[in-house]
Amino acid sequence: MEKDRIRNFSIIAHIDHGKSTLSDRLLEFTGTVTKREMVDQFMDKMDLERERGITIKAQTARLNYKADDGKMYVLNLIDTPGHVDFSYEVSRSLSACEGALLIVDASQGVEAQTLAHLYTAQDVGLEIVPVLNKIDLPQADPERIKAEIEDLLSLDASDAVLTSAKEGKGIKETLEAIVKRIPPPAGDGNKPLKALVFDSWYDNYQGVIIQIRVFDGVIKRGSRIKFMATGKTFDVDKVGVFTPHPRETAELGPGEVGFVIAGIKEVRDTSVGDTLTDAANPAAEALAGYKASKSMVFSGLYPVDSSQYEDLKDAVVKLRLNDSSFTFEPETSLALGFGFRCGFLGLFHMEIIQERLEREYDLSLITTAPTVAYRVTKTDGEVLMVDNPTKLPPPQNVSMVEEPFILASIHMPSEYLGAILKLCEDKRGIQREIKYLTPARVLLEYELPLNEIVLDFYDKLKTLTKGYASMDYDYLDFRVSRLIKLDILINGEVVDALSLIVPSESAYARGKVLAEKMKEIIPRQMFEVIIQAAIGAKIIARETIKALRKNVTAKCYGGDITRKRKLLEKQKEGKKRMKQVGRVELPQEAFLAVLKVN
Amino acid sequence: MPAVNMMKMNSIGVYIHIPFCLSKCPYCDFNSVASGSVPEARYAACVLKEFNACVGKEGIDRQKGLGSVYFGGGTPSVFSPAAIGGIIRGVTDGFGPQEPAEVTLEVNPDTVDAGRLEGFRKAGVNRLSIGAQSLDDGLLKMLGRRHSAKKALNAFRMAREAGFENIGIDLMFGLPGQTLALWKETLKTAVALRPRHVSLYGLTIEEGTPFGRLLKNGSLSLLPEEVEIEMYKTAIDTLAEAGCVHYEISNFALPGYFSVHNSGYWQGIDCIGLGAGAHSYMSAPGWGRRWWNALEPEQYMERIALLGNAVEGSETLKMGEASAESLMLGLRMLTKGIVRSEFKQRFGILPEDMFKRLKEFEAEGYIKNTADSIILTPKGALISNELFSNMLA
Repeated sequence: MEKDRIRNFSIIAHIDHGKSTLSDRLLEFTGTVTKREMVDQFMDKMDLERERGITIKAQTARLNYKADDGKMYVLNLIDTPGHVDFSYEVSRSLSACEGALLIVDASQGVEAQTLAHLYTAQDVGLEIVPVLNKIDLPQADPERIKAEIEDLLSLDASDAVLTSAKEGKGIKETLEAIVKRIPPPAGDGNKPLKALVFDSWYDNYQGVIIQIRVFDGVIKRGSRIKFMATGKTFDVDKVGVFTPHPRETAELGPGEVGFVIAGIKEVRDTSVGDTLTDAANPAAEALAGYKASKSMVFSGLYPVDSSQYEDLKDAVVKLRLNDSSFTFEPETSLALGFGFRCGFLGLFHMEIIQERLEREYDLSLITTAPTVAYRVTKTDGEVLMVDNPTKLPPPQNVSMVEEPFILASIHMPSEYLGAILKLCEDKRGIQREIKYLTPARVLLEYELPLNEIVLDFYDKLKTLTKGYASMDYDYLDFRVSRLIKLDILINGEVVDALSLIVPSESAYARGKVLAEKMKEIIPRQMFEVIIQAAIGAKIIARETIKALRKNVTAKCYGGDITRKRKLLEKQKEGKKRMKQVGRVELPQEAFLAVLKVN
Repeated sequence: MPAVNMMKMNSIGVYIHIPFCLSKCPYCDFNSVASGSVPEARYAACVLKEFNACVGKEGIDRQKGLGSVYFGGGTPSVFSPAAIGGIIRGVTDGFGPQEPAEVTLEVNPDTVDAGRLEGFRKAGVNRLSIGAQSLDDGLLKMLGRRHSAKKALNAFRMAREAGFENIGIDLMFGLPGQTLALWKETLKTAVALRPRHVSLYGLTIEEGTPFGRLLKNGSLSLLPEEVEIEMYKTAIDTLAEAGCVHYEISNFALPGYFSVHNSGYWQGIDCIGLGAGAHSYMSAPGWGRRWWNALEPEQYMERIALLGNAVEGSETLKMGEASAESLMLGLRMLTKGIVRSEFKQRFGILPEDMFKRLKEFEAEGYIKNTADSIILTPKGALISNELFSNMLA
């Protein structure tokens, strides 16, 4: 494959701005996917993604396009996941490209989510092609939006492509822009193999499939390859490309994007961002930017119905095959029984995993409040990592607790600066820098305890800036903090799964609002329920849920019976999602009440 | 405990829905339309056509006794005695010789006079259920009722004079603005009429009704729970003093006057529902089947004319559903309860095999568990929904 006939590109867009639809049109226009087999939004594979309108697992497709210059080009569309938890994965996918389409809704303009990815794209040196989509809408105002792109993003938008992906307008112009404006890949086929791993997943039939972008050298069947970070070696069984259906090819050379199957059993052997090289003739150095993926957020996952423990175990083992950033180990809770302590990249990742477990494996789960891993030094000098509040040793045995800090980079329109500064201060942040990128845009850098991010920082950030802020973060270090354990008691018994580690100065306030929130969440029962918050033996808050004394004493005749039975069945289903702790039924949300406290 | 007029297991009930009203009450979510003209003759003809088609289709043995006929609404008493009589004859003719069925007509006080009442009796109605709802003019007005308390009382007396002995009265409690004193007064007045049957309904706010909207926008305030509980308890005591048996969560009657028709629903007796939106139930084959008609009267009549039926939906019960239903309905009957032998005969298992939290509920005083039956206590009756939904969990 001639390098100058290859274009590798990604699409950067805000959630509803039409990335999936435009991807589909590109596939359709180039005949990559026929109309008949075109399931709407081909690029978003999983149901979950379709429902949330978010791409979680990166997909690629190879498009063959005959350009106006009469030549055939291979355009590799590399999809990217769309959330802050996956920012590292996004940066790796973008690193596999030379350019990116920046899609902006011609009626709504630039929105926050676009920005983080755009900055990443610019960081890795991509050529950005602005595309104004939804020009068919009556309220579309391309000129205004172009000006906005130039102001806010400092990009030249004068020759932005105008499209309506929905109506199929501007698709050819988009393809031409990709050919003309995005540079072809560089690279040398005679050098030792150097390929970037930007995605991998487990396939029941083939084992692990990895997606790569070749920079130098050639990879083919029979090559003995080595992952430079892990040092593991494998023999290549197959190489190929996604069209988007997988198709085997003889080899993949410089600039090409495709898949490799090499008898790899576990996804964790194939870290995203790692460099693939020739085992016998390795490259001198790996591609820049590799980071080992690390769980930052932890929570307990328990089956509501204890008899589903084995099913949950099977499910987490299977999910782990496909997601190396998800970790788990068995744990036991007095209140919840047998379950797993799981590690995630972030809160969103946690929600996705929980939803997948419930949906794909038909499980009903309790997720306990997310926490970070604290470094605890005991009075006897022992150091331990505590990722579960119940494991925090008693105060008299603790000499020091340290918590992880991150460096958050927050981009936002300058009008929101005041509100966000206050938010960061409230969350125990330490300001590092305020940078005005343009008079209208600010980059704020704050050092923050990860624990605060885990709780509700991201939601608050979005709310306070009407969604216009974007945030990225990097792990910094562990710092000493004054932290204590806050317990919740239900009818006098500590429910271990509800315990939290909180900064001591806000423990009272947290305990109070948490007890209030629990009162809202827990439905009335046939007896009185008392909720207490405690620090050690000291009760700091108390709420009472009065016993249920009356339902409606409604009639029940012919036509009412079916309706009533269905209502009861529904209530019974609802109860299946409740966990019996002692005699009290706690709904799933009760275990995440801390996330709902404002 | 007298269960003399509990329906015979091999008989069948017929329900006729008359979906017409003079005006629509703001709390009501029953299937009814308030229109100027009532297509009485056409509707009555449809009901009979539907009945005959159904008897044929379901293969119902006419030798089987007809246990009850019930005209509900809407406001069935907007129909003329002649129309009601025509339906009664059409439905009872051809059924085997049996003791006379209970034939109930729901009556709105606004729609009757001495002549019409006399007419209904001659047409074959032998039981009236008078929808008084309240005996306080202020509350009646709030409920959107067109009649006064006096008119309701008059309707009752006229019905007696017209020769009806078996008369029931419907009352509502938990009404916005209703005080406990007012409720006691209403009960006292009602009891003085010596009704054979009393149905009591706590106001339930249904979505989609004017009351539902008022509640949502905050302009309707419900009574505190404690007051409503007190009202229910007061009613239980007052009616007990008057000799009424609290035989179902919402129903009280003098011994021998339990509603045959409604008892049929709670005991799983077959019932053919005729008219717009009516529900039917057949206990066999299998674990039983329910179906229901198109709601809208015009649509109902068009379909009957065209097809002989107006079925809009149906469900075939599975054993789990049928047995859960049987437990739920059984518990509603506060004197009979769930009878172990009957349950076992039908489902092959004992109620406690399904009713997992029986012991716990018994310990809490919600349930009385005897050798023969499982019965809800008054304390349990108050939170029956909660118990039902917990029953099987």
